[in-house]
Amino acid sequence: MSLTEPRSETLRFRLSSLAGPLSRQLLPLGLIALLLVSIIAPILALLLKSLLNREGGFVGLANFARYIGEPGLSIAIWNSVSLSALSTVLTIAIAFPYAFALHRSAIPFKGLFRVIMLVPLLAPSMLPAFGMIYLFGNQGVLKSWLMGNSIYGPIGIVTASVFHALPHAILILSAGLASGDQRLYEAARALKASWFRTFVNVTLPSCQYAIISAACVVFVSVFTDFGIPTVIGGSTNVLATDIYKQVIGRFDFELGAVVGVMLLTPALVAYGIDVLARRNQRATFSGRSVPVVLGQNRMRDGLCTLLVVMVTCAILGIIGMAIFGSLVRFWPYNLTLGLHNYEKALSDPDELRTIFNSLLLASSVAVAGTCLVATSGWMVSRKGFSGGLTQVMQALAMVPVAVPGLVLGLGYVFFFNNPANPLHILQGGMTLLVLCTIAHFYTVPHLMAVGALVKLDREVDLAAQALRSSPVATGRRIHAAVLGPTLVDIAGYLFVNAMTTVSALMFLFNAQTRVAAIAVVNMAEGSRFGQATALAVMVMVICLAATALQILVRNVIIRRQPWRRQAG
Amino acid sequence: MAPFLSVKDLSKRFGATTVVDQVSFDVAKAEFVCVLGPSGCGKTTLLRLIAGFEQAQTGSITMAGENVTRHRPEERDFGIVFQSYALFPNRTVAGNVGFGLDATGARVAQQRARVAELLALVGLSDHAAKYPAQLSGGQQQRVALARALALSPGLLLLDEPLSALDANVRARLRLELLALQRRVGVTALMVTHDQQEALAVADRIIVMNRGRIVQCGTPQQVFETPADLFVARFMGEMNAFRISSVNETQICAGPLRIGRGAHAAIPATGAHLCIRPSAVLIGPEAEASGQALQAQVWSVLYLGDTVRLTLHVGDADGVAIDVEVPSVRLPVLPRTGDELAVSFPPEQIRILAESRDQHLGDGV
Repeated sequence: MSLTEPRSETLRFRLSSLAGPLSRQLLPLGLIALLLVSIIAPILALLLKSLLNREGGFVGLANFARYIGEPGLSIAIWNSVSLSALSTVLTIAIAFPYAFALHRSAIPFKGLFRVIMLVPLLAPSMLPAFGMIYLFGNQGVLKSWLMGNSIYGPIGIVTASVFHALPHAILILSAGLASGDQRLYEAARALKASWFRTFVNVTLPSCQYAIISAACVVFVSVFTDFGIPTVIGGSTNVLATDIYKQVIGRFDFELGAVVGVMLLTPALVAYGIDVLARRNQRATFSGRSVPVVLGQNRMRDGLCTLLVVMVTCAILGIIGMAIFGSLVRFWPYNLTLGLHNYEKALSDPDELRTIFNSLLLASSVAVAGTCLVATSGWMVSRKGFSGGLTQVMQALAMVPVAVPGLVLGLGYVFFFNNPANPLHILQGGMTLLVLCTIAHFYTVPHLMAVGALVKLDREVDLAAQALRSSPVATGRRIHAAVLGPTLVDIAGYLFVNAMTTVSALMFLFNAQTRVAAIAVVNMAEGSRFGQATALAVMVMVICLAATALQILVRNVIIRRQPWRRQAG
Repeated sequence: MAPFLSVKDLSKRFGATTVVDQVSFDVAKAEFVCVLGPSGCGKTTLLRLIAGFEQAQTGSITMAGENVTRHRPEERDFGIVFQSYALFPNRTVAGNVGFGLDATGARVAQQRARVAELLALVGLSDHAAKYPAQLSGGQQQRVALARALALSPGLLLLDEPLSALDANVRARLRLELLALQRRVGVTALMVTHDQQEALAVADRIIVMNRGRIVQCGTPQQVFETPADLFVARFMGEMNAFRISSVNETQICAGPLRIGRGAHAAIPATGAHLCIRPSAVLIGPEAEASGQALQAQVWSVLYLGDTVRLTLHVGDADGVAIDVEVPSVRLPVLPRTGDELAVSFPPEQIRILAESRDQHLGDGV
């Protein structure tokens, strides 16, 4: 120990041995407490509320019995289930060939098609619905295509839902199709299998879990989406709009809680199916698979190009139509183009404030959420902390993906509105909206952080520990650099989702904290379609700018990390 | 002299399985000790207990006279090298080696000098500014070694440090590692499943099986006088014939008859008559010994440096004997079906008890 002064070392050890166990327990415990309050407690409050009467007395399943007696309920359930199922089937039927074209064919301009299909993610779910209305609505340019049917209702809900869910499904299916095994295709060829037999026996099995997963995600997102049926549903009643009617229209919180439970149940079932499917997938995954090599096949490439062009044209057409509609002075009578709708929407200080609120919410969610996710992902993946606590944390972080936003939001109302709760002070403030939005979108960023960190060998931490580096110091000196670019992606994901989400905030906002996406719904309800579309387009433009910034910052970070470049 | 590292009655259980079972041994200062055993024998857990990454349920660990059993890793005086290298990908070679020095409070100039000294020691002075991803496996492992030695630890722990490397790099780095350990004078404890590696570098080898120490001794002792059949087979190939009967003058194993000679104590059950394939004599040399048996050649494998023969002695119930002969001694290869004389030099015969774990022993 020629370099060390013994005195300073013993002092440091004494300090670290005091601080070590404390931070090792306190930090994860604090984060677990936060996750419990922001995720679990509201859900429990909702479950409890569904079993209580207005005075707070326990009534068992009486609320459920009362709800089942409601007129129109069976129709709402049937509508929700059938429309979600139909949307799921259609979404997968389009998303699978699209993902196949991106990964298993030699179509031109792949990068472009990969980007275009992501555009719907950057807009509120209502935007495609507006596009549909301009195209096929009562005054729509292509109204005759519907042969007398109305877009307001099942047709509109399903079409807009498919457009909104498409990017999610394509992303999940892409992951499945990207990891094929060339050896299986060579074996099939050696056995003289036809293209169709190979597809059925090799391609489909290799991505069956991705298909199940995508179907579950799409079903739940359509089943629980609130914006689309509100805008384009007409008189078609679904559970997601019913919960809103019960709570906001009739102040019947107990029935609202019952509908919440009914929305939560299929979401949990779908999540369970997804988890089981993933578990099986791990067993069949081979670490030694060889990446698929694309053979020449003109017919395949031709068909794929045709399909991809049609889908992207539809996406761009619907979004373009919404943008066009927002620029028109008075649809369909005065087609003069201009920013009339934008000026009108922004001239009202109440509406203008929603944009600033959205920016405040999205930035706060991006900053605070990224910090939280970085911490939880780091603790879960690095094991420098007590194993039991990190397991609890991992389990908690996985819950939000199975909870519909409407359910979480309503749970927030029940939990934080209770005057007996010391956290009651948050009620009505922007902080609660931030907390709810972070909780709602917690799972995916958490998994992104974990995924980035588990690539780093666990023994690296032990090596650092052997060199007398505390877990926090190792996190700062090593893990932060590894995680850096992913954190930018996480912040971008949280920002865009916070900008576009409606469902979780529907019950939480007030006049002071109303955000733009909710203002879009309100304007649409008030038949101010031009302004609603203009506001939705503004949200999309902000998200586009944020995403461009995200890509820029991430690239700058990666350029400043020469260690990521392999030896040439 | 008091041992530098002393492990006493150390036990570690994970749930119902005892991974390290009542292990005791000492390591002298500047000694190079290898812990050798098949995968799952508990050797890596033993290393992690000594490092403090795991806590033992019972027993004690003493380092340089201080009981460190309950100390956290940061409070123990060791450096460690992993099979995966475990280099910090975002730090340069110099940044990796200097990682532990930052926290010592030493002056920057002193730290730089120390890093330069260590890089010179492992021959990587020209690569100081490179990142781990730009280095070969052997170079990465040298960085890991320099990093482990940076704080001048009393004990160097090596967890299968060479297993991830190509055969020729492994052989060269083995020599470098040994030379470095001698030069620095650090006490070293290396875990490995490669008996060649252990034989080549260790002052002493500790053979483990199923969480227990089976034998502890110099490489020669462990190879030439193995404690049981498990150790014998783990250290190299071994012919083993179950002993069927013993009388005053003879030991019988099937058709084999060996003079009792110096083998006084013979285990009552499960005893085997053992000889290494390379120690068996054949042809004229066997005939000259005067105790030759007639054998039939079953198979001949030409392996370049050596020739491997499988011989058969006796009738249908006879025994198969593996023989390894330097090819220079067999200008004309025997052919399958040939008759050949075979004999066992008495000083090369070992009488060994059945291994504690027949299954594992057979696998090697």
